Amino acid sequence: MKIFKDIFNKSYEKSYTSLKETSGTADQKRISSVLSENIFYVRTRCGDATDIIIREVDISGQKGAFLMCDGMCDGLKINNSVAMPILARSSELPDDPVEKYNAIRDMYVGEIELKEYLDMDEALLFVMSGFLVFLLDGVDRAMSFGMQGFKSRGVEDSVTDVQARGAREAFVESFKVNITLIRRRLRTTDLRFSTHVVGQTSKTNVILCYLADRVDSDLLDEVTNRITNIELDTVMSSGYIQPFLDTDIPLPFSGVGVTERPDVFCSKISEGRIGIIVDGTPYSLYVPHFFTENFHSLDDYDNRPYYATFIRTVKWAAFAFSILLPGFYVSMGVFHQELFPENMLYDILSAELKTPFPLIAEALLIHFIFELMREAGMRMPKTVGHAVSIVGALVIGDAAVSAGLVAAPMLIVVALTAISSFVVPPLYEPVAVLRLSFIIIGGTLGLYGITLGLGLLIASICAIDPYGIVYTAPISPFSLSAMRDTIVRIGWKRLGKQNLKADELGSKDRG
Amino acid sequence: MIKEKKISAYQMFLILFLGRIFLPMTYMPSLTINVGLSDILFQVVFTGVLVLITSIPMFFVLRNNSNTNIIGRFSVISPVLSKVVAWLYGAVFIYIGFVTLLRFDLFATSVIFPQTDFRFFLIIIIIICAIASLFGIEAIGRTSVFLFAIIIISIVLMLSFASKEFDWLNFTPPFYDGIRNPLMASVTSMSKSMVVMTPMLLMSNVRGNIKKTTFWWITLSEGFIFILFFFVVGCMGLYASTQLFPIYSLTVLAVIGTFARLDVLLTSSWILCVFNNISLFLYIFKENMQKSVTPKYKKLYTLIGALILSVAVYLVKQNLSAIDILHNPSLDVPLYIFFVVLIPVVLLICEKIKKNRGKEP
Repeated sequence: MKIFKDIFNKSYEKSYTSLKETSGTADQKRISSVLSENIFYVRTRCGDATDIIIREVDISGQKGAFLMCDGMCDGLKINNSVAMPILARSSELPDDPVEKYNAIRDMYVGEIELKEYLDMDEALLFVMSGFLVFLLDGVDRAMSFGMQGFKSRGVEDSVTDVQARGAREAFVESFKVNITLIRRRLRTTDLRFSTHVVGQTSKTNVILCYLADRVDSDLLDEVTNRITNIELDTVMSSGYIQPFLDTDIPLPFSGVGVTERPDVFCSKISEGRIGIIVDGTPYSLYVPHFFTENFHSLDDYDNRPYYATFIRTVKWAAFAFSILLPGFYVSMGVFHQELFPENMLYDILSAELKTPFPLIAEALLIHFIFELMREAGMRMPKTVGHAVSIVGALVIGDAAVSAGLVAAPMLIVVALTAISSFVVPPLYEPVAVLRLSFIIIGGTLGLYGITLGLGLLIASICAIDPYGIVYTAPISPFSLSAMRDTIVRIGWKRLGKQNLKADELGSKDRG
Repeated sequence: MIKEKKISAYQMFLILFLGRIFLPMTYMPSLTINVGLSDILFQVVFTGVLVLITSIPMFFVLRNNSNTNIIGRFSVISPVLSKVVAWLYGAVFIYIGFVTLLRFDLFATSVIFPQTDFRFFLIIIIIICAIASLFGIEAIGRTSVFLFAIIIISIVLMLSFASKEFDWLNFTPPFYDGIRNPLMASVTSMSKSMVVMTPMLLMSNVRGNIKKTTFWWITLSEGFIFILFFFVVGCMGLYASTQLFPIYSLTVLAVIGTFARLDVLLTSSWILCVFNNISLFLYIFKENMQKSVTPKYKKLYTLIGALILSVAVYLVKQNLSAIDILHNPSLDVPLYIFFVVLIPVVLLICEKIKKNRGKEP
C-alpha cells in the first residue's frame, strides 16, 4: 500500500509542478483545496446561470463535485465513462484525498481526453466548452473530461462554393468536425493545429492550421502574433478576425482567402499557407491569398486543362465586364458617341430618347434596384426569395421598359453585368461598389476618367502585400513557372512535378 | 517577413519604359526644327545615341550598385550639398511632371475637347497619382507590369490595324535638306528626355543590375519609338507633318470592323502613361524631401508636391500658352545638361578626391 502511496504522491508532485509552470497569471483564481470555496466561487461567477450544473457527490466519505454545462455534454457518456466508474467503486478508493484524486484520474476513468487545472477560471472555460469538470475536497486542482455532446449541424454540401465534381462536404460550425475533415485529407504528421482563444467575452477558439515542413516560419510567427494581439470582445464569425490578418491599407480587396470547403482549404495548406479555423463558423480563412485565386475553382483541377483555361478566361472577362461595362456604356453614351457603330448608335439613341432620366441616373437607378432585389432575395426565406426574384425580373425587366423609365439597351447592359458579377463570387462585394464608382466616373469624366480610375484600381490592388507577400503575384511580380496555373492550367502530369510555395511566389520583387 | 522598399530591375525598366514612350505619343512636329519626313526616323536614332552618350557619367554613378542613391552618395561627401541636390532633383521632377501634364492638356484641349477647360481633369489626375504614389514604389512597380501589358497591346493593335495604309512610297530620301536639322532636332528631343536621370534616384530602391537595365531601357525605348515613327511615316506620309499630334492621327486611321475610332485606345494609353509618370515623380519628390528635410511627414510631402503641381497647372497655364512652355529649348537643354551630366560628374569628381585623400598617409 505504501508503494502505491509513494507512486501517487510522486506522480502528484510531478504533475503539480508542471501545472504550476503552465498556470495563468496571478490575478486568476487558484483552485482551493476546500471544495465549498470552489463551489461558492463558481456560483458567484456564474450567478443564476441555469445551464451551469453543479452535482455534489460523496465519494467514500469525501465530498466531490461535477461541473457541467447543460446541453453541452453527452449525459449517457458521462454516466458510463465517469460517474458510474467513480461512484460504483468508491469504496475501493484510497482514503487520502490526493491519492483518491490520482486513483480516479489514473485508474478509474476511461476517458482519453483529460486535462488538469490549477486555475478555476480556466476550468470554467472548459465547462462552457462542453467538458465535465471534477473537483474533490482536499485537492487544490481539478480535472476535466471531454464529454461534449451538443447538437451541431451535420456535414453537408457547400452552399456558397458549389463544385460540379468536388466533394460534397463543407465545413460546419464545430471546429472539431472541421479539424477532422482536414485531417482526413492530409494524413501527415506535419499537419499541425494550434489553438488560440480570442475575444474577451466570447472566448472563441481560433485554430491555426499548417504543414510544419512547408510553412514559412516568419509567416507563421507573424500570423500567430496578429491572432494573439486581437483585441475584440466577441468573435462571432471569421469575418471578425479577417481585418486583423489583412493589409492595413483600406481597400475593397482582401489579402485573406475565405473558403467553406475542406478540400480547397487543404490544397491551400499544402502550398505552405496558414489556415485559420474559427469555432462557430463554417467559413475558414487562409493567408496568403492571391488576386488570381479568385478566378480559380476546384473544378478547374478536375476538368481537362483546355476547358479549365477557357473557364478562367471567361471569369477574367466577366470580372472586367462586371466592373467596367456599365461605366463604359454611360461614358460612351454621354461623351464618346463616335465609338458606337453607326447602326447601334441610332438604336441606342432612339431608345434613350423615350426615357426621362439622363444616362448616368438611369444606370445608377437600375443598379440600385438590382442590388435591392438581390439583397431582398438573399435575406428572405427561400420560398419568398424566389417570389422577390420574379417580381424583380418583372419590375426591372418588362415593366421598367414599358413604362419608359429605362431604355432596353441599358437593361441588357445591366443584365450582362449582373450575370458577370455572379461568375466570380469571391469578388462580388468589391465589384458591386466599384461598378457604381465607375458609372459615376464614366458619366462625369468620360472614358479618360475610367482609364484613370482603372490605373488607380490596379495600383491599389498592387499595394496589397500583407506579410510582404504580394497579392498580385504571380502576374506582378511575374513568375513564369507559376503561369502554368494562373490563367492557363496545364495538365496534372506536368503540374504535379513541381510544388510552388505561396510565400516564395509572392515575394519575388523583394530583396 | 521583412518589408523592403525595393523593386526588381525589370519593374524599374517597365516604369521607365512607360515614362519614355509617353514622349513620342506627344511628339509635335510643330515644336521641332523643320525636319524632313524620313529624317524623323534618323532623328530618333540620333536622340538615342545622344541620350546614351550624355548618360555616360550616370552609368559611372550606377556602376557602384550600392544601397544608396545619388543623394545618399552626396551625403557622404557633404550633408549640406546632398540636401541641396535633393531639393534640386525634387524640384526638377515636379517640373517634368508639370510639363507632362501640360503636354496632355495641350492634346486634350486641341484634339479631344477643344471647348473645354481641362484643368479640372488635370487636378483629378494629380490627386489620383498622389494617392497611388503613397502606396509606395513597390506598388508603382507592380502596377507598371499591368500598365505595360495594356499599353503595348493597345499600341500593337492600333499599329496593326493602321498598317493597311502603309506605303513605302511615303518614305522620302533621307537628309534631303542636309543633316543639320535632324541633328538639331535630336538635341531638342534629348532635352525632353530628362526622365533619363531617374535611375540615379531609384538605385537605392532597385534590386538587380541597374546599370544594365538602364542601358536596355534607353536602347529598347528608342527602338520602340523608332517603330512608332516608322509606321507614322509609312502610313501617313506628308500628311503626318501637317498634324499637331501625328501618332494620334495615325490611330484615327485604324479601323477594326465596324469600330472605326481606335484613337480612344491611344488616349487611354496616354493617360495610363501620365498616371505612371506623375505617380513616380511625386514619389521621387517625396523621397527627396524626406532626405533633405526630415524622414517624417511622407504624406505631407506628397501633398505638397501634388499641391505645387496643381497650382502650377492652374495658374501658370492661365498666363502662358502651353506651346510657349513646351517649346523652350533654352531652358530644357541647360536643365538636361545640369541634371543628367553635370551633377553626376561633380559627384564622381568629389568621390575621387575623397578616395585619394583617404589613401594619403
